[in-house]
Amino acid sequence: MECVGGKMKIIKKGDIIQSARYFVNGLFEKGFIDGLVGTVLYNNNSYITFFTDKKFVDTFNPFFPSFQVSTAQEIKRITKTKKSERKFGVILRPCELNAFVELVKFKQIEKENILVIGIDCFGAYDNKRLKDIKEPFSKFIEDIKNDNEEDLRRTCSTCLNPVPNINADIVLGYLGLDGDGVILIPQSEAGNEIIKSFEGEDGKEEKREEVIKKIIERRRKKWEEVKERTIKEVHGIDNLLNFFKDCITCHNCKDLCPICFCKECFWESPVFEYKPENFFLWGEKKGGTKMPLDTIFFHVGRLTHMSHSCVGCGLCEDACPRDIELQRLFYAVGEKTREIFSYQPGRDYNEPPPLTTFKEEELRELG
Amino acid sequence: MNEKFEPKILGFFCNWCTSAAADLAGTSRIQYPANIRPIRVWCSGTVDPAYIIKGLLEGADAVVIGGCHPGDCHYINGNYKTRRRVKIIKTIFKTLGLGDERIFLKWISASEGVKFAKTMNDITEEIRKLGPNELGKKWNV
Repeated sequence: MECVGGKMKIIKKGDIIQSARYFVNGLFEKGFIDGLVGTVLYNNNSYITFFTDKKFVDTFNPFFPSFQVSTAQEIKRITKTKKSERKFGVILRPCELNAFVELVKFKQIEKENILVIGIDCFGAYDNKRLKDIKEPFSKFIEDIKNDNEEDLRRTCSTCLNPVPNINADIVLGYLGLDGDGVILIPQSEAGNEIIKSFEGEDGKEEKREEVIKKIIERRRKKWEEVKERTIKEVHGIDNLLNFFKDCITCHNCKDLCPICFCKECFWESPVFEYKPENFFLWGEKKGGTKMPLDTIFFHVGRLTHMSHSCVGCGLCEDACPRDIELQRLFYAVGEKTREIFSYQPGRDYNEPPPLTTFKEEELRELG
Repeated sequence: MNEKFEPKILGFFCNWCTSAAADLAGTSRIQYPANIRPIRVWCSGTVDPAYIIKGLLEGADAVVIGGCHPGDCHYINGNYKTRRRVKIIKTIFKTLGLGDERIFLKWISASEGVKFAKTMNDITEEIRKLGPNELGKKWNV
């Protein structure tokens, strides 16, 4: 993993949750943070929570296998109007971290005074299945040990980012440790200083690297297969119509998308307040029109807006009330639009998003 | 292919270059096909990909975006941004098989009346060969 010349450290204060809580408690006690955005449990349900009271540490579980909204999108709400004067930490899954980086670039998050803690992520359980699992977290730990991906969200089972990109301050990891403690990996100078202040064993990379490699290799195969199938499945207007046949144009996919940040969204604008004449015009031209209107327009339009920044988190398809598997379409098409500019969302805070910049000498085939 | 097929081509032309070239073609009595439906915009950079998508979904047989040559944009760099947007939308249309060959980007300066007429002729002929846009008949898009 990427380090800034700092040392990795393994904290063993009981199991992985106890160790993670010990670490977070330490962050508060040593004064590194005054608040934290992370997952806490209440009646066995998980909630993303901003907390300043250390009592929440007792129910804190950053690795709980449930994924409802992108934490990156929620952080946006904290620093939307101005940067925070007080330091707070944020716990981000790898896909959330990538979305976080994109939102910083889009000037939706003010990163100053935020301590970014990325976590390893084997995945999260499918929301519908999660309800029927009695002890989700114990099962999750077992599943990690046994490489069992059966109950994961469809998206997670094809995810190629089980570990954070290089843009956190600290990575809080568990892969390769067999459920015994957590590993701290520095990714910034600030992170390195914090890790130094904790007691622990020196971390070793070999086992961790091996486990990560295995997960990625397995999933890459699966994703390549899904991608190929998806592109075939939607090729041509009739196939595309078929893919979206159940879409009710509710825009939930857009609302849950961490990348879609526009305050005034085109798809909610008065452009779509048609007049009776419009309908009769469609009647004259095409005989009639399907309703709700503009389904394909919405999805193709959204692809032009955000596919190059799509982090593949799959919240769009979780949000879909009609179970349309949007992520595989958006992420697969996104691969094509990213390829044009060799762009990778979440790679670098200083890499401008494709539509905010240009090069004079490029795309000459277009003119 | 079809003698009777007269394509409808939607043109978004920037005020300073391509629209002026259309005017020049007109005042110079250079003929260009009536298949083009020109819409004057301040800059090719103002052409939202949504205009292109909606145009094609509504049944335009092609969409042409006309702007100033690279380096000549009257808003400094609008046309470079247009080029990126057009590349993205063409890529998406190609991937989804929606007819990316019906989207054109052309740089035509204010002095290029002849080029304007020739370009519009060429595009019209190309689309005539390609045939009507099948999206135009889809009541359910």
